[in-house]
Amino acid sequence: MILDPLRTLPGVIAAALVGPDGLAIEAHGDGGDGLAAELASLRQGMDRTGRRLGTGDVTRLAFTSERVEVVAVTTGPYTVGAAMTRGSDTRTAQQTLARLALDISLPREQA
Amino acid sequence: MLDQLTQLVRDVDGAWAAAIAGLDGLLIEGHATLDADLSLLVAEHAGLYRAAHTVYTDTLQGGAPRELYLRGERLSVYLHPIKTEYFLLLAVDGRSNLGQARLYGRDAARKLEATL
Repeated sequence: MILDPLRTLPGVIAAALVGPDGLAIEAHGDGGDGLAAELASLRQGMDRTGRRLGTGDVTRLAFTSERVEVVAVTTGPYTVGAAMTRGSDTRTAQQTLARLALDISLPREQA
Repeated sequence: MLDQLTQLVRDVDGAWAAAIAGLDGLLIEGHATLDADLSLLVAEHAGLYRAAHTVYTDTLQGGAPRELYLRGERLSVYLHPIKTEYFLLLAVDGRSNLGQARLYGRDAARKLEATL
């Protein structure tokens, strides 16, 4: 489905596509639903940050914890992100996420 | 028990109350950040859950409801049954994170199951 390109990337533990309500539209891996819920929560904070600082919408989020690296991008009301093993190269995941975000925001062509 | 309910309200965006109650409608324990009548809240939702349970198990042959979510104009409630006699109720506002409510509500219900 939508997250398929992320499933095969090395280091990806979980991935999620989520809207504002925190329910995963699509999730992959253990903790995918949790990642979805927390990405929605972070997104809410990011929206406030961008609004209050007058910086415009925040479109990309990345953070590192003790065990994982998380990268996410926003598109419209949706957030799509991946959690990767700490130390993984996140560049490919970020490129993949950017492509996915583009696909999600654009209407799909009918065959 | 109160600690877990308090933590649940803290962890779920938009949550303002959490409670444990019996399906008879009696409040066992609750925590709210707003001035609210938790006894009334759990009593009314116990009735709703019992009705849903009867319809699903007897009429629709769908088995017992595993969770219940009701969204009103000013009140939304997520409900998770514990064993066959109790339930966890989480009250959230209109801009709540339902994903967090489900995941963390279910997790809290499992932990509380051991103490009931």
